[in-house]
Amino acid sequence: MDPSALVPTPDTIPAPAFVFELLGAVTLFLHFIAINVVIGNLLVGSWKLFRPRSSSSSPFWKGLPHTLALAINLGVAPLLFMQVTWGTHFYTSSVIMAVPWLLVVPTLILAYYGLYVVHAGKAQMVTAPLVALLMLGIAFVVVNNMTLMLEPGRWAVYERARNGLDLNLSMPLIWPRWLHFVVACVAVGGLFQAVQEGWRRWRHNKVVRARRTRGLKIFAWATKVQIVVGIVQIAVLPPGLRSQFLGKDPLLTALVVAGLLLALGAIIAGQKLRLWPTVGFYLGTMAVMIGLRQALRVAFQRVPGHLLNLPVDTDPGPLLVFLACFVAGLVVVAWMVRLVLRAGEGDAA
Amino acid sequence: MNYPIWELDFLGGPTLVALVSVIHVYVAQFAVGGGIFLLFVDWRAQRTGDDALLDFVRAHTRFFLLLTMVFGGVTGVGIWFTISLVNPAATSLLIHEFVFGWATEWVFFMLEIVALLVYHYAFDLLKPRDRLKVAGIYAFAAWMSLVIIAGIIAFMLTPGEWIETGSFWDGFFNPTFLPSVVFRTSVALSLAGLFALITAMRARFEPIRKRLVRIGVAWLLLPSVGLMLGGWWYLASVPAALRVRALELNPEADVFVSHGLVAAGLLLVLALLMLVVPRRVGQVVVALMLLCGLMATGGFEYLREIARKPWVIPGVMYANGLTPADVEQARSDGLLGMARWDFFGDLTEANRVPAGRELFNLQCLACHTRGGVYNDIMPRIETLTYDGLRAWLEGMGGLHSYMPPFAGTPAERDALAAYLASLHGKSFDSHEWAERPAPRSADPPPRQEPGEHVLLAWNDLGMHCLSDAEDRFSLLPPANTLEAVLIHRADHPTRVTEGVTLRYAVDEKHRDPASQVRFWEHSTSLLGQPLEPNVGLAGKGLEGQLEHVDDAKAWRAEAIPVVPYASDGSYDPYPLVTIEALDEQGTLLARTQVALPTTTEMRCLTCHGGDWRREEHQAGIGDETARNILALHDRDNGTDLLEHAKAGEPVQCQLCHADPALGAAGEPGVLSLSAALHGWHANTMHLERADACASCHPAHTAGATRCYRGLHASRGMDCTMCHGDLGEHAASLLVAELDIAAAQLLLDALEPKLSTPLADIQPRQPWLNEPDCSSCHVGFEAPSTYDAFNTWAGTEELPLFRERTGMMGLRCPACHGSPHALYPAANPVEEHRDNLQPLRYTGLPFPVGSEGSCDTCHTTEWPFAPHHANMTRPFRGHERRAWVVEEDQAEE
Repeated sequence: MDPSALVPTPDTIPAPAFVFELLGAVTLFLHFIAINVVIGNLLVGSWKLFRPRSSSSSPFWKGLPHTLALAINLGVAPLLFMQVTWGTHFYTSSVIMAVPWLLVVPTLILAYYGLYVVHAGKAQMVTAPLVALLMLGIAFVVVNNMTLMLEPGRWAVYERARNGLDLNLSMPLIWPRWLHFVVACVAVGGLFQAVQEGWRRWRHNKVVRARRTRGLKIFAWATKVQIVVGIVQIAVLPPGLRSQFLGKDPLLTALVVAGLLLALGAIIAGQKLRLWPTVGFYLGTMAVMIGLRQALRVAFQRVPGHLLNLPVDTDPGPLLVFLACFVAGLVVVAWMVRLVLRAGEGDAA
Repeated sequence: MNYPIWELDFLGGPTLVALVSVIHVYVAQFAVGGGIFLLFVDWRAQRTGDDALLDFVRAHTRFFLLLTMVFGGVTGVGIWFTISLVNPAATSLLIHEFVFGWATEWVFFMLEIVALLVYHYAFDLLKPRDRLKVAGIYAFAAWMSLVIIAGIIAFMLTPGEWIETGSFWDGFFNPTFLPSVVFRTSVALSLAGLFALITAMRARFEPIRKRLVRIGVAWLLLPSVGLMLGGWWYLASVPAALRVRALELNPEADVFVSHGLVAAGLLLVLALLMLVVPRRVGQVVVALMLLCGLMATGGFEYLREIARKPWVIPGVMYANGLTPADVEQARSDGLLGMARWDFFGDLTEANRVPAGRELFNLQCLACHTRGGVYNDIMPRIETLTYDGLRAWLEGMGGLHSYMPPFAGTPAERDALAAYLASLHGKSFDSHEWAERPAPRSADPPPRQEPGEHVLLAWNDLGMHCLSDAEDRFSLLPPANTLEAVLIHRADHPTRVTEGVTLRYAVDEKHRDPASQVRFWEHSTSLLGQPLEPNVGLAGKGLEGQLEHVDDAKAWRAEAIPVVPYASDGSYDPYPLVTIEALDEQGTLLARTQVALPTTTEMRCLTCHGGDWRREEHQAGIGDETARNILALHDRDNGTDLLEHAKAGEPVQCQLCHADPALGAAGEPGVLSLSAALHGWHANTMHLERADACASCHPAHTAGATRCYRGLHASRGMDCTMCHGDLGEHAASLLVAELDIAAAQLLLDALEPKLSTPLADIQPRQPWLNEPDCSSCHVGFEAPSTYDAFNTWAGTEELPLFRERTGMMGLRCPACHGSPHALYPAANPVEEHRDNLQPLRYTGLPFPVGSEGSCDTCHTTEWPFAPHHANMTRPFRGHERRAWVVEEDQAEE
């Protein structure tokens, strides 16, 4: 059976596809950073708890619950925009793995409340790794769905399994893809710790500098592992697709090379304990990774130009209203943050 | 169809959506109202310098954050997850239409999160005025997120002008948008008061607690005005058809509406109680109130969802993801071929049941579970047979307008019916009827020599039915009306109207109907008055006298309670009655015999299941059939007939349904029995033309009664040529009762299927207006057409055939026989049984006076026909050859 026959007929999109791909990419970028901070902080912090020379203060950032709140909100936007251009694939794969997909919601509620328990300092040696595990579990299901949606050839599993319990564990890509995410969390956990210490007033303090160094070292080490995992991801792609990333397609290959170079830059800057250049390279790498992810999605489709073939009926009004609200919203958020920072400074003064 | 279907047999998609969304709406609406509440109370605390109130705000904010941000926020995502799993087609449509609305809502979510975090964590850090600004930002952002989602949810109920324009703005600013914003904002403010009580109860110092409780209760109660106004406006903005479907037609609406309204009422009462109870009791009361609030929310949201059925977006997409265009295409091309995800090949006889399962998944599973917790299909199909299910599927979407129409070919409809029948282990083939024996052969009765008088008798309708299920209900009582004319033979014959006694006696074997049917046992319950056994509604027994009725120009005995069950256990729907005319001295002037047709062969079991009451005779509505019928009637009309029947108080249908046949006025606002029965079944009938008639009326060719047996039957004409097909027949009754709402509903459902345009259908009263001979036999000539439908007799200008006379005041049936048994009739029980009178008087089975037999009544020859035109010409038709030509040839 021709797998492309299973791809549902798409609905008309209210703006050109690139608008949604761009908006999705930008918001996904922010979401990944925030969620990596949360899980990374939990992982690195839990590791510190198990080591005898951990300090008496809590290794977990006080702002974790807030960060998760923002991370969840930032996850809503890319999911929304993705459904406009890839809904045909996404809804299909979601139904096929309906049960684990839906279980993400109660798991997230549990993890979120668990984070408050960690935040309150209760049984952190149990709660922190547990919450991290729950969130990595969510990530696994999400990776699974995002990968299954790319492969209509695997959708025929629905014929035997209509109860939504199929996790499609036989897809080779899901393992390195998920691992890529886990390692990213560790890397960002370390980097974030370094950044936290980098912001402090007494950042030249020896203890603070040691913590910063440790954070950057964790980041550098994890990023080295990331490169290997990234190579494995490309290696497990179907041969026709793999060759596109390895020279056949100029854009895709350029992205791979750029990502590799930026990652190497981040490793080197991290090893040299140059905090802000490391952060800069990291953000650059992340941006390229997001781009690669979008490109991979398109490349996977047997029918080329999936995005270009979507029927478009542009209605600029609602888009403009959204953009105006978005800008206004950012201004108000900035105002509120400034309010707090000023009040904090005033308080300290 | 476009997407794969998650087989949620037990839980059901709607249950999942309901669970997640009711909880979310409850908490989210609190989040909106709570934001406004916090702003107001913080402002009050600052203005009055009230530290206790400020403590309350601080404590309540923490609770607020933990509940709304975590639980409220994530369950919102949960709704999104569940709807895209349960109905991806609709979700995709909404997303593609409203993506920027949702994106804007997301901006407000972001503002809410940042504002609430700032408000809580920097509560004491910020200057009080700045804090109020932040609270104001939160309140505004939260309310805006309510406004935006309200627009999209309202669109799902009333898409408004979007259907024509496809414009985002028309879709968003739809008819129920503003009413729902007013309503939901009021609910949000009310819930703010409710949840405030949770924090209030934590205050240990009583005067403070009492004050906080008063604030909470005030916020709970005051928005009731806005709630009621908003609610009324909401209801008024919904199209009337949706309102009727939700509030009157859909049987699912009741329970949750009553639970929801009761819970809301209880909530208000408990709120007042909170003002006076001590702390410990108050904590329990608050817990109860929270539960009531949840139930009230659930009740309202459920009603909104129900009101939308069968649509997920009215006019655009049904709840099963199919569009009206899909349904239209499926009816010709088949749904199985269209569905992308069914992996099914061609529909064959062998794979009917699995194909039916697939069809169930494609179009029923969206709302029904299979042996599950919600809207379980199993009890809903229990009373119907395979044929009943085929009929039911036909009526879906029309009559049962809260369900979508069946999408598929007739073969697919039958496959789905087969699957549904198999779920209860029933046969999934049509009922097969046993062959009935051929009529007993008999010699024609000997020719009677003409005397001084001629007695002609007939039954008024040609057949009379009774249900033989009187312990459950009675459709019609045993009541057969016999009429007769006594003619004094002369040059100018006259009718004898006085000075004589006409007496009748039904065949001996049929003299004790009370021992055969349970009608008399239940007559008090059925008719409101007890009837003597073996006595009919008009006081007539199985033997007695006829009275002369001047208006009718005939003698009459009304409502003789004859039944087809004989005392020897046999079944005879045509027992003979002997009528004798006696003079004042008691001398016999004339005698005749005629069949009194009576039957209990009503084939309701075809669709409603069960067995015949008398299997050996294939007659009588069986007990299970009767109970199934009552169960469906109760379900669809909100009656409790089955309970009445079980309590030994069966009901006569005419108690509520007007019926000229019994002179019953019925209840106001209820359709006549004929309009109701035909109107209903016309919408749920899978058979066509005369097959449809024979599935209820005793005219089935495999039946013992075969009531349609006269001249026209032998010509190959069927019921529909005079009465119209079932749809037309029903429509003609319904258009006469349009003052009753149900008539319009039934017609709306029926109209698309009518073979005559509705505007052309002429209204008629049941039993009182009927098709007429003159429509085809213009000037009493050979028929110029074979379609007598839609022109009705029973008016002053044209009385009914069974009631009118010819030019000399002689009743038409006297010479022509009863309707449906016009001479020559072919009786299925015994040869010649229906033609006894013409055979005796004329030696021919044709109408009395035809073929030159005027001497039946006239003592001298008449050169022309005074009774009606064209009566002296030879009788038309092939029967004549058998009877007359051979005689002519013999004579020659």
